[in-house]
Amino acid sequence: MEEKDRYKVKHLFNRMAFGIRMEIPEIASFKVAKSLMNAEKEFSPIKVTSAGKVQKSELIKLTAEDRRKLLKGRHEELRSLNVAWVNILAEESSYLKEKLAYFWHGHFACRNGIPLYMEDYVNMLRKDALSDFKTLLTEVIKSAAMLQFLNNQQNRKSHPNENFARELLELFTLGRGHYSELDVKEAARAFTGWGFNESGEFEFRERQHDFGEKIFLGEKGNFNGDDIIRIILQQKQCAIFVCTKFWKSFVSDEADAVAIKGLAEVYYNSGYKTDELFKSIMNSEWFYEEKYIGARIKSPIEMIVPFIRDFRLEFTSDTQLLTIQRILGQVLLFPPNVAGWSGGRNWIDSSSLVYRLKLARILLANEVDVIQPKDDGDVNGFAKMTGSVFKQDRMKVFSDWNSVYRKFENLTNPLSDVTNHVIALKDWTPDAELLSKYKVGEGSEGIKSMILHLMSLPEYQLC
Amino acid sequence: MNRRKFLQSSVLASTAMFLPRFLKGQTLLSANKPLVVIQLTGGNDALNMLVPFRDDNYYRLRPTIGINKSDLLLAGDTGFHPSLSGVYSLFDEGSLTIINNTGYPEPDRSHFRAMDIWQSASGSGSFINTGWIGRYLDHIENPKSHFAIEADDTLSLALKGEVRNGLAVKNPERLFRNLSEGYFSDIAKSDGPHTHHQASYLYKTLSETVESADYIYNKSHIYKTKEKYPDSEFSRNLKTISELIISGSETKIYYASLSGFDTHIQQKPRQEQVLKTLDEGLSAFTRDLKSNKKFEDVLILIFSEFGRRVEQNASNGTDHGKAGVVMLASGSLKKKGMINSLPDLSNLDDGDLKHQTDFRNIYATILKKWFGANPDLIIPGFNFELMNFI
Repeated sequence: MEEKDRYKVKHLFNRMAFGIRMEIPEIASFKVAKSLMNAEKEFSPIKVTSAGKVQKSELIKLTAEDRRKLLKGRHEELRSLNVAWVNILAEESSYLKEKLAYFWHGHFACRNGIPLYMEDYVNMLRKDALSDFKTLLTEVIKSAAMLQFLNNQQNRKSHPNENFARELLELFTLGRGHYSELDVKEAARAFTGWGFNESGEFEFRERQHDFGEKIFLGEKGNFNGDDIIRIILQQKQCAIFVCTKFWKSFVSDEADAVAIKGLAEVYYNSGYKTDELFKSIMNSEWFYEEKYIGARIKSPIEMIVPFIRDFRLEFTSDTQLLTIQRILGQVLLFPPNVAGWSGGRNWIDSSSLVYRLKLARILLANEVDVIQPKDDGDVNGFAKMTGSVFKQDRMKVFSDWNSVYRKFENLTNPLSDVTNHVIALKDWTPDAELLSKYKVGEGSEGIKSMILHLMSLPEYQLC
Repeated sequence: MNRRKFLQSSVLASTAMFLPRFLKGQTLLSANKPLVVIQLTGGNDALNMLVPFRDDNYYRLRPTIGINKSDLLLAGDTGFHPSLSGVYSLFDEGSLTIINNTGYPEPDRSHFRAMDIWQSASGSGSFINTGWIGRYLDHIENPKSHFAIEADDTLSLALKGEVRNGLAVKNPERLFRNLSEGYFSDIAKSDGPHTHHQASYLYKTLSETVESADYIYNKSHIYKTKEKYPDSEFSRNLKTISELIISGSETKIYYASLSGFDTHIQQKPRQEQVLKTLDEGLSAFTRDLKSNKKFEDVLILIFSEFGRRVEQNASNGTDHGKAGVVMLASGSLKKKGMINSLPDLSNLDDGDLKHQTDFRNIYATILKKWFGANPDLIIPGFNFELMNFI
């Protein structure tokens, strides 16, 4: 296998999955691209939550203590859902579909206190991550999680609520500056009556819907919600907007307007077929150019998932996994707002960087670190539920190094091989002086200290 | 730099070189006037903090959690919560400004979104991924990360800028030991082949962090307070801040949070406790500043992400509301005391206090009048009106 193709394989895994496993497969890059796309794989939904929403009439009857228990139960289920999803990302990490589901969670950012709704939403993203944008968009905005999050239950003919329509235009499809205030108002009218029932299924409430004429993005008609989506997708700007997001998550932290426009052209002309767009990216030459290698700062989830996968991490409690996410600034199911995580250099500040550089030693070598994530203010909240102090005894994590040793112990030059696995940058060699200081021992001990050293470098933050 | 400026600064620099470190801090940096932001996390119930005891609506809507007049610390038409004796004496001596009914249009009742709005200084309709203090750092010349310090392990959005971030330090010594010795200082110093632009950005951030940790640690040695601070994490954080201020750290903004204001259930004992923690910490902090003649040079801003509903709930608590109260404390306030009217409980917004003052006007006033910065650059798209508390 050619060296050049090996780099392509590595880059594909770094971007279209959660990094390369500890062995680079001796498979040609075009075959890897194909296997990442594997559409044959059967979809298995996450199922960890139980009941849906408790009706208001029932909620009022509850005593304060029962109400507290109810909230506690919900938080526990949300925590289980978070952990279940992170584990799926680790187990199924060689599928673009799962990586894209994670991407869509940032794009269609949503928070909801009802675990069942969030679970439906997550499964939706996972199932249709590679479907065309219209299918996914329609499904997501018709989900109970999103309808409730963006207050569309309150969007009635007599009293329209614009929140849902505004975020749809600003954050999910077109972006600021590509619609008017009037378009928001008119779209809000078209979405009146969109709601959901007790079990979280979409429901169209005819009596609350405004059947009158609307003018939206220059078109006139008695539009409903589906018409609004159709008109939005006719705008090339929608493809540009979504492709800019793709670019930042799959190509580079730095936007390149010309290249993005090219992608948008492909996306738009394919009828927003996400699988075709990704095929064309992976089969292109430009995607593998050196300027894009290591051009992204890994997100916290992109940091955590490979550790779990490659070292078969076992946490002593779910709380630990949540706490790490909180400290690093990305908790799945809890985006900071409907705009999602900003990504790129926004992940980095002095304390998050220091923690990122320590993470390998904390997770893989049980290094002790006393650090307390922030309180979110909510007395019944998630933060309270996930435990606040990172005490020594709570941070015991079991890692399995044996399979890693086996891969490297018989190599004549383990350094270059290990470096190749751990560091995304091309033609990069570690500082010899530092390496000799931090690589201690021979055999497996030497390999362990070498891997820990490389994973504690700023370069390891890049993919 | 023109010649005259150069001469001035070089004279200053050469004089400074012959001064002992202690005096250096005192003389050169005496002009530094820091802001200390105190965030009350969880939604502080303004109405039980400053009670409009003459308004019958108050006792009608809060039959079990309303505070009796006889228990309040009275000041005109308002009564301070009994836990706030220290704040009350600041008010009494003219070192406190109270801005009632503070908020913003279309307020959000969720903790995370409301905090996002206050920290980023966005309106409720827009999303900004940087904080107002971070953007202030972006706009000063040669900023260092220790110019904005948060007394915590992790950094809040408020202190993150477009190109600059503040520094989270709970314990200067621990941070220093963590960073300036061993592994981190080795990496920061390593001049390996990191020509890659993202990698060099990370190296730069790391070495700036190490530098700032160094600076803060050295400063924290200079002055050790004799003031007795209560035994709470909040107070310990204020103590760290006070020692840095009195030692003459060039830090412009300090940030500390106190949590526990989300009083849905059994508000009375919970609020008593959390306000006591606030009051005792703040009292020790201001006493410390005063005895070191620093209280005139320091401005303290106290805020919360929202106020609470006027009517109590079925669990003897209060739920998330809208407008709240902002307080400022300093030895050099221009307009003191209550600078606007108490909430009007007969004129509510769906059961909540209406906002009168937009919190961004308070930020803008501090930026402009305290720091001489241009608020338009830091709070873009907001037509601010300057206030007169400083």
